[in-house]
Amino acid sequence: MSASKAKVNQADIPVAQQHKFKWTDVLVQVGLVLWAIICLFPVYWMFTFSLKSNEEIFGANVMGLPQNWLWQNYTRALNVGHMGQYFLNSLIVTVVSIIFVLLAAIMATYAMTRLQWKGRKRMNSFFMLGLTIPIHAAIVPLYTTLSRVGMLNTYWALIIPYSAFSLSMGILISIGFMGDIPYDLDEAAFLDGCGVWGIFLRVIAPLMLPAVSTVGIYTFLQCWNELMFATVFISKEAYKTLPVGIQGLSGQYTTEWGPIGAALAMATLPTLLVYIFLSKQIQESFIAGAVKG
Amino acid sequence: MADMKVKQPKGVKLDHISKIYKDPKTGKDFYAVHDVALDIAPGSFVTLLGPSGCGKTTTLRMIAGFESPDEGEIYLGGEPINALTPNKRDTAMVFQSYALFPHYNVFDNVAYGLKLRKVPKNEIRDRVEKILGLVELSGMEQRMTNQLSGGQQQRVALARALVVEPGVLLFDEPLSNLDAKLRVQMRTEIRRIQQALGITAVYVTHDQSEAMAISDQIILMKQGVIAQMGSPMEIYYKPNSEFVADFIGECNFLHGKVSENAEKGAIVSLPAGKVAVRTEKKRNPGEACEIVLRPEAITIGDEGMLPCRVELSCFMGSYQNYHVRVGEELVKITDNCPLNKKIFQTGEQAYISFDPECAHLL
Ligand SMILES: Nc1ncnc2c1ncn2[C@@H]1O[C@H](COP(=O)(O)OP(=O)(O)O)[C@@H](O)[C@H]1O
Ligand SMILES: [Mg+2]
Repeated sequence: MSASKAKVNQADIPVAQQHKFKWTDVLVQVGLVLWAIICLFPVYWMFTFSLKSNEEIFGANVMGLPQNWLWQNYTRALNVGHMGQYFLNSLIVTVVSIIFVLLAAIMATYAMTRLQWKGRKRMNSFFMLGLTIPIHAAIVPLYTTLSRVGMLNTYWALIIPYSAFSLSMGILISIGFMGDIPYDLDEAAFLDGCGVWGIFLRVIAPLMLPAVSTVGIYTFLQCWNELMFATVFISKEAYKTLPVGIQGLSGQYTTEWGPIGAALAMATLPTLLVYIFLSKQIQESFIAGAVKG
Repeated sequence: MADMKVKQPKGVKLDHISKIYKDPKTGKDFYAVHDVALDIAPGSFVTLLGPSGCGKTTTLRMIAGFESPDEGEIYLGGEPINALTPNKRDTAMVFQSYALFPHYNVFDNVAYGLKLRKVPKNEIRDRVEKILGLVELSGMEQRMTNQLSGGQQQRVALARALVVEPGVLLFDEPLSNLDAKLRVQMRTEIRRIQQALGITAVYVTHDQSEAMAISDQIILMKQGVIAQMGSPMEIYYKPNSEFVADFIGECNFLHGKVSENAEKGAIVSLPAGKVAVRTEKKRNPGEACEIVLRPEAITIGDEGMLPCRVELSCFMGSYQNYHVRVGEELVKITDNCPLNKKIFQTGEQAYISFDPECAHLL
């Protein structure tokens, strides 16, 4: 079987290579290279300016590599600028939110697409309504609620809204992935004596791993750079996340841009790594996200 | 192979069952399965056959317990089972998509049902090995299912259903994902294993040749009702309607009138002439009727029962394929072993003949 398949594939290759040389292709390639440079330049610029002094940043050497590689910018950002603390806070808030979204999204999707109960369609529409709520409209009601229950200036003040705002999209993505799992699998497991939970835990959940990475990345991108909620709900230094922390730095160090660049570089690194190593899943989550527009 | 028989097979009785669905377009209720009554003997191989949408799957799923009948009762081994959930029924199912768990290897897929039933570990190992031997997959225990060919996946699916030793084994179009050659090979295999285990099997297919090849009994369905049931030979030679005759194999119909009752049959008058046909039922003279004739039951020659004109003559290797015009009607003939026979060419006049025993009157 596999031998004959391989043969067919090899027969296909020359056809693909017969691709004719076209000038339009060259133009497209050149355009793409230019676009890549435009996109990558800010990253390059950020990393170089994180290693420069103010004189170099504002002086003649704006674009070039640093003349003096000031690695102490990074130690200053960590020690004086509390970047370590902010980074940890961001990590806690983001990771816990991702876990919440994954659990809730996959379980809700299972319940709404695989189990038969009255109102499951309406429940689904209810969750999808979440896609239409603008984050800004929620700030004031969220603030009053959080302050009433005494959750302002805790991790929960961010984890709960972050999870809630990513959940709708998480469910939307999960529905797509779960739809690809044949219903026969549930029935086969049911015949063998699996209950609702057994089917979920032994069959559905393991097969939802691709959705886990896509939903996880989507949630990560939503939470890691979030500024609005983080500024409003957190004022204590101990709970500030990276975006808020970095914003604070520019007040303290107006004359020292190097450490701010270093802080930005550190904050951007996880996102960059995600983009480099998980670009396929990112595309998937963007395509799913395109529905949201 | 007698030692493979592990358990008494069970019979299935469908006591006038019906299933009503809502048509998603019109919103109206309709019978997907209507008043189906049949008795499946323990250890027999029964096939539900019919065109797509005739209610085969629905019937099978009611036996499995995934759907519950709106009318009637289902009995398994003499016990009514309508109230039992699928896992409480003594059935197993081979799904069209195989429904193998992609995150388990072959052994774990087959062992899954036994594990859930809390069978001791060494017994699981013995039983899985025995069944994998039966489906000729020994040595593949550690393979993941996506490393298997379609035919092998099919065997794993079969092994998984067999290993729990069900009273009745259900199949829903299990071969439709395989290529034609493998399909023929696997259906023989399924029949061999079913006979080796002496298990009761209910098999759904829309492929009449598959049904003929493996069944003890064929239940031919049309629009939710049973059109005819019987052994493959009964259905082939004694169809009770044009639908059945046409669905099973190639068929010719000659329209005419009963002219008189004869000894053991009737004389039928056709526009092209009169012929004698065997029938069990007495027919009234003057009644309109149809003669059902299989292409291989007709011979062509320089003389015979009915004159005809050859419209197509085509050498097919094992037979000569003719299309001839008898009166107004087109008749297909397959003339086997044409080597030493006279071959008629297109446009020639000839005569057709048939044995009255091989003709069937509708
Ligand atoms: N869940 C359902 N809801 C509504 N109609 C259905 C459902 N399942 C099957 N049907 C309809 O019932 C009829 C019989 O279906 P089915 O048993 O699957 O046919 P077959 O297996 O013979 O092709 C078809 O008209 C089909 O559209
Ligand atoms: Mg079907």
